[in-house]
Amino acid sequence: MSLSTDRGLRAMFAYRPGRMTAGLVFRVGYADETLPTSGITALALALALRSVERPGLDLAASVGPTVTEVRVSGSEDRVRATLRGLSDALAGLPVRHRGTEARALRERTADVVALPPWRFGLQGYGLGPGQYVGLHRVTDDELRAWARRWFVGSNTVVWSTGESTPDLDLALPDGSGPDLPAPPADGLAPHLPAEAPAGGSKVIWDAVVPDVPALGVLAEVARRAVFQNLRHDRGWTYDVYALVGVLDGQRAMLQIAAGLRQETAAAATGEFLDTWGRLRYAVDQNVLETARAHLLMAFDEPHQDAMWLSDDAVRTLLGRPAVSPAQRRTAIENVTEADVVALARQAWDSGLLVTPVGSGWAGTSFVPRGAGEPVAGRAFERLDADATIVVGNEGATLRDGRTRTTVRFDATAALLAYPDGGRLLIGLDGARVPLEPTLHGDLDVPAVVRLVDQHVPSGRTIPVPRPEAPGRPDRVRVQKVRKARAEREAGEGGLRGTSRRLVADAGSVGAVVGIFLALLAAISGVLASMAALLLWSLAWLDGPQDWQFPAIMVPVGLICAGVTWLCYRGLRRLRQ
Amino acid sequence: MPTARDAASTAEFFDPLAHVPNGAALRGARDAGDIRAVLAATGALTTHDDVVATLWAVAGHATVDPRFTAAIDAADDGTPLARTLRAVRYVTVGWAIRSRFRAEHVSAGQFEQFHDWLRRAERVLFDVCSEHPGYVPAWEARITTARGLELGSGEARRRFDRLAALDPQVFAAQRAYLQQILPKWSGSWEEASRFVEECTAGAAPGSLGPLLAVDLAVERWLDGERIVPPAMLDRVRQAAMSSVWHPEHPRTVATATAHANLALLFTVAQQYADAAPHFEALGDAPVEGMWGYHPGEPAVNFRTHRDLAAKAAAKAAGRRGPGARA
Repeated sequence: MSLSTDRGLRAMFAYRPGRMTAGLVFRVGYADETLPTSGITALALALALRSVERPGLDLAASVGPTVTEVRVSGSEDRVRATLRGLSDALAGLPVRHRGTEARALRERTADVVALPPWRFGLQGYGLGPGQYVGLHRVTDDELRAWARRWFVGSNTVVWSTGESTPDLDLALPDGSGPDLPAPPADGLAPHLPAEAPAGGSKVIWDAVVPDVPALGVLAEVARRAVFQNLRHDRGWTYDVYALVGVLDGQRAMLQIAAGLRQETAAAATGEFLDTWGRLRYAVDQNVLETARAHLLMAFDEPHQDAMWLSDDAVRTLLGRPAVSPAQRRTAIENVTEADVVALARQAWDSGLLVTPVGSGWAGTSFVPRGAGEPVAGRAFERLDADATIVVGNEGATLRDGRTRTTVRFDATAALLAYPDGGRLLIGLDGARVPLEPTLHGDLDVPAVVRLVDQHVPSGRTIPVPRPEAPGRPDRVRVQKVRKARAEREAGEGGLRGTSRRLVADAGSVGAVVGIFLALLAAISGVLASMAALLLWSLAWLDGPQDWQFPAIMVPVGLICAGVTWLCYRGLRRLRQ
Repeated sequence: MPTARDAASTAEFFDPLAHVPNGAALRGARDAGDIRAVLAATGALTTHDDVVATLWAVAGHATVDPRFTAAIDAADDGTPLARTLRAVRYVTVGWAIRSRFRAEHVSAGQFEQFHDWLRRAERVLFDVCSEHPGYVPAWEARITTARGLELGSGEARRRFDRLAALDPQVFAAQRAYLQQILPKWSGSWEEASRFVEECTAGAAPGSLGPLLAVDLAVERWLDGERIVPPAMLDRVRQAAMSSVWHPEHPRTVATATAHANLALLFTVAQQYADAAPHFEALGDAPVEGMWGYHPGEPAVNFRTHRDLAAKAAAKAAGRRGPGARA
């Protein structure tokens, strides 16, 4: 393996016969973004790739939390042309197809299980696929600036394997910028292990642990144990996997998962947890040795330097010392059962469980969101549910049943602004408070602007399109919610609530009695005026009568009929 | 709903510990709050049904007294037994908050507390079962936590199966899982009947498995089926012959529970003469079993019906003539 530096750009080469494979690795990823810029790295890369992709080109690219990679294979000319074209595109980003690429990115990641936000919040490592809402806001200038800042020589390693060192001569912008270290992978979630209601149809255990050689062994041991119990012995799952993902270089993500079938989902979740939890105490020696042998098989392949080169590039960018293939092998050989068990405990203690069924597994609870002190301010009752939103100068609190969700303005990840005036306030911890004028009787768009928009920095407001605002609930629904609210308040408020409800009940009874009396009077008025007019008509038989009488009685009758109609409408409304 | 005083008198009247080897010492230690002595005595028990019943009997003592919970916590020496006792204590405290109401009558606040206690219990039990996968009493308690936490009958069944693979004849575990698959806990009568059949078919000679039919019959009676079908009574009589009256039947505290439940079923079916031998088998040490289901105060009911059964038996014996063998 050889390492050279050209104008700040580090280049690594390893010999391997056959066609050339080369890659660019950049120290940038979604953990460097914020929610209002989320997806910007993936979009910049997609736009640059668009200018070099050709049919039949063996090209792959990915954006991770801290590292973005591109890899291309083929003849030396083809590889050189592709990487040069890509570097040129990153240096002067073509933004013409921004809309199409942004939409494609959002659509491709729409069904991702959004687990990281439950650990990290909607920031840093919590962003990534599934959280590309920032693409609605990102401008062309921001995209170009992002590319100029991150896709620079000093922040990049180019590696290649083949028969000779290629003359790549990449035109990435100035490579003398400062080092851009990865942000630390510190989680927000306290009280781990905990559960994350992230949906999907898998049971997943997600952990953040030190990036040590035992990690690969633990992942393999766990995969085998879960496969044996869930797939082989019981047939409750088809797919089992254990992944190790790069985070900040010091810590790595371990994810163990098994797909579930609806009819056996509960039992499979239980068995999955028991199997995985068992590894905290004991690892079957046979399983450990088989797993180790499986991992060591990779070291029997020829051209070891070439095999590990892309991984070396990532290590270099994350500031970790270089390791030779022999050192990697020795490290795996030296992992003991005690190492694996100790790491399994760390993985348990930092774990997040995702399962589509039940809660309380292993005694765990959901990760709390929006659990801060509720804010004081003006309260707006929802019409469609027994919920209230309180908006103050510090933030907003949603009270829904017994839960309180608070987002403070100074801990806001983003404010989604819909064209119809609706808003969604999103906290850094992922909590959401919706402010929908159509779902409140007393909250209009100007009020939302005054109460919320002005407190959130404009850079955090994301205009998000949607076809229409949530529909205003019908009267039946509103009445039902009002009743449920009154009952709950009576239950909570004890004597005071009861007396308030009695007063409210007495009020509605009074209204019914009043309207009923008015209705009777109005009907009597109609009948009386009709009878009087009849008598007046009969009186004509005795000779001409005074016209003044019908001139008074006809309007009186009509007014009484109108009052009757109004009373009838009023009674019907109260009945609902 | 029984008051605290009723509960106290009920607890004194019914005493499952009387049927546990060295039960008097256990009761004394429990009443004195000497949990280490309780653990030592429980650790000496040899059958899983005895251990499990002792854990529930000790943990269910004074559920409103936080000092007793603290004493149990303090006595945790890291052994699976001590940890399981702690967990079972959390379950009984939680269940006391939930009270005996059906789910629709429990307030949201009560449910939150109930689930909090069950989570505490499950954390402990999960660790015990991870570290000691062969420890039967922890699996037995986990059948009940799965039910309370509503993890699904598939999960409860898996826990039961894990336990049954270790010891297939733990009557307490069979009874605990049966609760899960009753209609009141998201199951159905068909499912429950199938499980009863399964336990009957798989029962070792003299073991209590066939008597799960009694639990099912009492549950159906409680659900409103006020006349116990004669075929069911015949089946239960037969089940009693092949279990508690079987010469190879190993006596445990579960035997006493089975007698109490048999006595209850024959009582509600107004077959007092059939109930009498089961009342007699309990002697001076009644256990509650499912007597809490009978309307009114369980201890008073038990005494009243025991007397009725004794009279009916005497009358039946009289009819058979003074020379006939009882």
